Amino acid sequence: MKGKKITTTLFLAAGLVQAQISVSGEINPYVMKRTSNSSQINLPFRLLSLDIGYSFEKFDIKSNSAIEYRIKTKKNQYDLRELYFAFYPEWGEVRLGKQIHSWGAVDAINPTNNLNPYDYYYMFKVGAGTKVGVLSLTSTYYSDGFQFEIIVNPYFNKNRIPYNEDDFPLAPDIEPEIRYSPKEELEVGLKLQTTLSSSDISFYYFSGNDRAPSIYSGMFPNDPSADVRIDLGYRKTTMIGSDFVAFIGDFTIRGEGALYNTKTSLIDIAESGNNFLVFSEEVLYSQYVLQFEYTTARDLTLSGQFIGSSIIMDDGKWLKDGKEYSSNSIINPEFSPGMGTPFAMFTNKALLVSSNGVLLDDQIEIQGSIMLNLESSGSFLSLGLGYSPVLNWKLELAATQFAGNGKSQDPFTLMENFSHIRTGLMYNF
Amino acid sequence: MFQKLYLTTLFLSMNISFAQMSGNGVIKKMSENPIPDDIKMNFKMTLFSNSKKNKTKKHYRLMEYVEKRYQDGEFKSKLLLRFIEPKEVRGLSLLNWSRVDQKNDDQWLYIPKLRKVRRIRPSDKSRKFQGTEFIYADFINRDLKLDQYTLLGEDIFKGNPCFLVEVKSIDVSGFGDRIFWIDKKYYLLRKVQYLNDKKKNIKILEVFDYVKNNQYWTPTKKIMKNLINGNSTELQVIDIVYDQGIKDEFFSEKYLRRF
Repeated sequence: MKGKKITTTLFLAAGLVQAQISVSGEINPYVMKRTSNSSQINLPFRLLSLDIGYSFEKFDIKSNSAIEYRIKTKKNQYDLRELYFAFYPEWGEVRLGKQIHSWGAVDAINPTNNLNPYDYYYMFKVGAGTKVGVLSLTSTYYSDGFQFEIIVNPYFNKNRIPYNEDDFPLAPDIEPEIRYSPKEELEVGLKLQTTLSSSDISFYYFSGNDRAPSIYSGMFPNDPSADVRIDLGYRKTTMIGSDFVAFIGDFTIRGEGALYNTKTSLIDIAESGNNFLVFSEEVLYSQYVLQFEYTTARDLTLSGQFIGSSIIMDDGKWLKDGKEYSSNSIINPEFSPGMGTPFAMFTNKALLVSSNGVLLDDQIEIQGSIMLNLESSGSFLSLGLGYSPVLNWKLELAATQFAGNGKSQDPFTLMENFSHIRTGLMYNF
Repeated sequence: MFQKLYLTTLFLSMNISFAQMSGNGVIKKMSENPIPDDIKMNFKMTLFSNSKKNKTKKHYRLMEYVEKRYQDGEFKSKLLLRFIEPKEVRGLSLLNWSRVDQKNDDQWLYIPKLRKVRRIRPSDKSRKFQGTEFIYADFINRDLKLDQYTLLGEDIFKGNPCFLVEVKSIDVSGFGDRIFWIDKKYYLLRKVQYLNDKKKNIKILEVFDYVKNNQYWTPTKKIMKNLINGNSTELQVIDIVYDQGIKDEFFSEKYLRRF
């Protein structure tokens, strides 16, 4: 018995010696003040981000969590953003748990990256920080010259939208009631990546539900003074996409595009009546980004992105008792994509030019970007400066300015009052 | 008398061998030093800035370096370089595949914040390595056939008699001309002068310490000095192991992401 105990202890000790535990993260308090009147913008931010990992031979357990904090109300909230188990067999990789995926070859704005919903509180961040973790089973097979990935999300997941946030101009006033939950929650994503000469090319397929709700049905009383009731649900959307990376001379070219087919699901009509209408809609639309990159001899990276989206086909109609219904008083709602990059809500065509670089042995980081609305006047300008006097500590200063076309419904105009200066401190551990 | 005759003969034979030694010969002897099939090491890079009156220590980077070399087949070598410090870029990793028949390598960069592996332009090798005075190419084995070698003479470096070999690039990879100090005793690289197009000395690499682990010589401390801005970067090996039989799959996107 004693011998067995010693053997077990030794085995565990050996396991601990071979295993690796890693703890890292960042503390990043900051304050955002409006450029218009210096008032504070009271939105939550990730004060603490913590990554904990445990690796043992071909196995990993990884977690990423955050504490969100609001300075004005001094309220905080714990967010377990990721927690997954990973296994690395010789042929590839298997991951199971709450995780954030990253698809797409271009920077920041990725039409193909729809496996996770967006967190609109962080829509101006980059990378995994803009996404909400979802429960997934992922398997990737690597072979000479290509890789194949399959991702299964068993449950439906929606965008995190800031509701009733006075300080976020695009925030809806109230969280709408969703009448129709997705019938089929299972979502599937496939990716095939291959190499052609010195270029990479990938193909994507995703079948899931919209991340944002849209109109499914409505009750339209005969009495014009009575309230109209609109019912919301999540459309079923299928995406096919592709991206590539190529090198021409001193330039790197990255391109990414996706084609979406979205349609309202057949709904179980729980009510009937003369005034109850169902909205049936099928839309084919696309989003694409073409990016040019150039790095100067002094390590200054310049990049330009052309961002576009277009509706190829829109077939929407109101149905009454299963038959098409038309009335002068009831018009079709304007199509709003429930999947794809959130920047599509700003404009259908935009140019984003950005640059970043470092000075003084990496002590100073500078970055700047400007987005121009190519369909109407409107722009978004961002300038950032980071100074790291001591290893792992950084002082941050950033300015963001929106300018719209003056029209009240223009997103750039709506965001004008969100123009701000951000000062912060970052400590990495 | 016999001893004197022996020493004279030895001296003469040495002179004859030096006289016959060409730049190519010195480089060939240097390349004949045993090299391991794979290397795994951790090193520290300390950046010194000369912007003020006194040279001040600014900050450092800790990195993990894993390289595998191939005797035959499609590849010359594969390399995985990973940041450990500064913490802000922990996990930032570079994967390099150097092929036998291709001038340009394949390179991928894993950026943890983006959770993305990005293929990067291979000619970036001539750029500064993460703000240090080294360039990416300093971490990648260069094919000896891509340079032309001329023996310039001899010199002493830190007490070590050395051959001076001029190295001229014959490809268009962006490498300028260099002068190598290669010690006569063990044929180890002791110093490199980097010249610009006007033959002006712009950078100096000095290798201070070599340690022999089993049959392999390891440079444990080297300093790259930029003579234009006065900055320098010190690279110090913290630990190193050889011939661990690192599998090919380690140099893949799968392991690039795993840290």
